[in-house]
Order: sequence, then C-alpha cells, then structure tokens
Amino acid sequence: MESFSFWFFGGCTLIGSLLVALCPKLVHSAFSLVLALIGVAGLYWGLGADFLGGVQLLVYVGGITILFIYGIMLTPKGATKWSLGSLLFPGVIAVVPLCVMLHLAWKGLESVIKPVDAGVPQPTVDAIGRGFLNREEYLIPFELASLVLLAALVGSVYLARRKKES
Amino acid sequence: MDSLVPYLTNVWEWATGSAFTFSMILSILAVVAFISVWAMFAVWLERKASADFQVRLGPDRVGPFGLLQSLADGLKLAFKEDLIPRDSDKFLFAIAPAIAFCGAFAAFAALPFAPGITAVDINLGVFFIVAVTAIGVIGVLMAGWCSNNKWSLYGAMREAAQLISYEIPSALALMVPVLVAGTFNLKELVAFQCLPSDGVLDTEGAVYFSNHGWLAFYSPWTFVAFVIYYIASLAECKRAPFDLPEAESELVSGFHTEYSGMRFSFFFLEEYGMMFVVSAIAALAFLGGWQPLPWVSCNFGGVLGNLFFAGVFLAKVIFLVWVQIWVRWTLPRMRVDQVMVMGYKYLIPMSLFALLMMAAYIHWGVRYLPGLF
Repeated sequence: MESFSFWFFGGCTLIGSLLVALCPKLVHSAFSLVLALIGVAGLYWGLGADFLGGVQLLVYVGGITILFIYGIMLTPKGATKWSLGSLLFPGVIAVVPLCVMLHLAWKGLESVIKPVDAGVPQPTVDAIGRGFLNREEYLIPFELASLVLLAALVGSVYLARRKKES
Repeated sequence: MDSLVPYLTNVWEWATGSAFTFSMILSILAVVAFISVWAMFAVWLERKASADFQVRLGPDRVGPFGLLQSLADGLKLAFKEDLIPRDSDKFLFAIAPAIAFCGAFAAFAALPFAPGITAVDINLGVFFIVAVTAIGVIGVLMAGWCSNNKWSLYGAMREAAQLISYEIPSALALMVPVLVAGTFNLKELVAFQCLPSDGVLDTEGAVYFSNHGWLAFYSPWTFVAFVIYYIASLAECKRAPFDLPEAESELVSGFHTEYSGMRFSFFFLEEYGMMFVVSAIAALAFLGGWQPLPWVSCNFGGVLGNLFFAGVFLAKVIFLVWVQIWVRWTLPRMRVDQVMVMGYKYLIPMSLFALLMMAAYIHWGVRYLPGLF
C-alpha cells in the first residue's frame, strides 16, 4: 500500500517537476507545478502527515500557484527560445546540487536516517496545534513568523502605494 | 478510518486486483451517478424557480412537471459538435473541464450523507474539502487562458481573484464550529450537535433532548459565522450576485465562452456539484446534518435509519440550494470592485471577529451573553 502511493505520488511529483523545467511555454510550466505540488501533498498523506498534506493543497495548490498563473497570464504568449549559451548557467546551477543530493541519497542518508515502523498513522492536527501553542516549544518562533509575514504584507502595500503616487 | 491512508489502501488493492475492488468501483460510480442526477435535478429546480420568480411556466412539456427536461438537454449536449478553436491551446483546452470537475468530485468523496453512508471517512473532513475545491479554480483558469479569447481570459482572472479572496472568510467562518466542537471530522461535528444532555450517545432508536442543538443556534457567533459562510460560499460557487466570472452582459459567458457540447456540460456539472458541496457543508457544520430538528435528536440504526437520515440531509441541502437560486433570481449582479470591497473590508474582518469572540466565549465558559448564561 505504502509503496503504491509512494510510487504514484512520487511519479506525479517527478513528472510535474520535470515538466516545469522543460516546458517551452511559461503557462504550461505553471500548470505542471500544480501536478508536482499535488504529488507532494500525496506523499505527505502517505507518510501520515494528513494536516500538512491539506495545508499543502490549500496554500500551495489553491493559493500560490493560482497567483503564479494569474501573474503569468499577463506575460506575452509564445515559447521560450533556447540556446546553448542561455542554458549553460542554469544547467550548472541545477547539476551541482543534483549530484550532491544523489550522493547524499546513495551514501549518507542510510547511515543517518533509519526507517521506523510507526504503526497506523494517527491524526496530527491536535499535536501540531498543541506544539505551536506550547510555551516551551514553538510559541515564540510561531509568533515571530507571523510578525515577519505581517511586516511583509505592510511593506508590499507601502511599496505598491508609493509606485502609484509617483 | 483515520486519514486518507485507508482510502489509498483501497486504491492499491483495487489496482492490484485484490480485496475491496467491488466497493471501491461501486463508490466511485455512485459518486459520478449521484452528481449527474443531482445536476439534472438542480438545473430543473433552477429553471422552475426562475420561472416562478418571473411569472412564467418554465419547462412543463417533457415528463411530469417538465422533470425530464434536463435529461433531454443533456442528450442534446452529448450529441453536439465538440468545437475546439483553431488558435487555442488544444491539449489544455481538452483537459480543462475535467480538471475543473475534479475539485467538486473529490469533495463529494469526503461528504457523509448519513452516519453509515459516506465514501471515505476522513478525519480532516472540513479542511480536506476546503483544500480540494481549490483544484477546480485551476481548471477554470486553464479554460480561460487556453481559449485564446479575451472574454474567457477576463472571466478566468475574475474567477481567480474572487475565489482567492472569498476562500479566506469562508474558511475562517468554518473554523468557528470546528473550534466549538473541537474536530475537523464532519461526522463528529454532527455527533456534537446531537449529543444528549448527559453526554453519552448509547441508546439506539431513542428520541431525546440535545443540549448543544444545531451549531448555527449554539451561540451568537456561530450564527454570524453561518451567515458569513453562506455569503462567501455563493461567491465560491460563482453564483449571483457574485457571478462575475461568467457575467453574460459583459463577458459573453466568461471562461466557458468557447466551450460546447460535453466539455461545456462538465463546467455545468462542476457548478451544480459545488452548489451541493457548499450547501452540504453548511448543513453538516451549522444545521445539524441529518438531525431533523434543532435541540431534539434521534439515534436510529440500520438501513432504514440511515435512509431516513440521508433523506433529512438531502432535504436540508435542497433547501439551501433553493435559497441560492432564490438569491440569484432576486439580487442584481455586483460590480468587480464591490465584490472585492465586500470580501476584504467586510467579510474577512467580521469572520475574524466572530472567530476571536467564539474563542473568548469558550475560554470564559459562556454560550449566549457574558454574565447571563
């Protein structure tokens, strides 16, 4: 069961991500990103992190990608023209981390992380909520994160205003 | 049945041909059949109601009371030519209606119709449905973009802006009953609303007094949340007065201008499916689900009991859908800026306030008015 959901959603993520990188049209890349993100949500569910999977769908698929697509729809249509020179820099940026990740996956990780049989996954909402509001654990980082988000919101409104006046 | 995992188990066992094959296929077919029959019924209801509001007769030729009119229209749509515009993005044009339908379809899987009638009992119920319905928006955006038509594009962009804005108040309003009952599970939300005074749900076949009552009448703040949820859900279904994505006086018919035949009918299925889903959530989370009366609950078992509960639940959903139709044929369409002002300046602050006050009430141990009771 785990292996089927893992391969299915892992395949979704992989194919989606490849399409994001390889589609010549920007809008196709944005729609492929949806497939990749749904695959990640499925992987979370397969790992028993049901709340995280829901958040992934709600925030990333339902919010952020829609804003992406919204923005991309305003860009000119047409395919990107590729040339060897334009691919060189992104290629180096992509290949180096890929090699590092593959090395870690092959050699390093199996000595660090051992698979654990956690039994039947339990609902996680309750534990996450308590963890966030626990004074010893994550309360202060949680509040700080919301402060940062608020500052970003206020800042973006301020920037948008200034541009309009000038 | 605690999370999606059992569901995935079923998928796996279905794919490998072992156990659960039959129940799996059966529940998928049941959901598809139910959405189709429901959409036909809802279209008939809409046409009849609109005829009443405009002092017309409405469909009355095909079948008793014109009930088979939608079936005839469906057949006509199935036989229509499937036009794909020459300069459109053909692949996206072909799959967009299916993706738009996915959101409503996935939400149906998690809806309980009665204590014993549900496709998948998901612990994350409310949250899962709010999350998956967002997939439908992507289908609409896709349809609007790939049609290569400026009206379609405008319709899709309005849809995206509207959906993102109104998801916030509707989700915040749904958090109020979740806060009161302490669960995301739709079945447990209903169980909370029919909990007897002593808090033990044991006697089967009993009719008893329930301490909590329907959550809409549980406290002033849950009622405020119910009203906010209902208004926001109209916007999420693209129903009038929020039907800007397909405003036919300005945008021909918005994002589905270029669609015809079966692909067009999929957008219809999505719209009427979403109407059912949001009304069902309103009925389950605020109006007692399958309990027939507020404050008086019953606990029936067996097939007959489940059928009775499903009937009550469907009656509530049909009533709420009828109110949506009533609103559509009564109120004029809002302007784009009015829709945004309504969402951001009124509904979001009000829903935040209701959520905060409900949390404070729970903290103080108050239900109606502080200091009184």
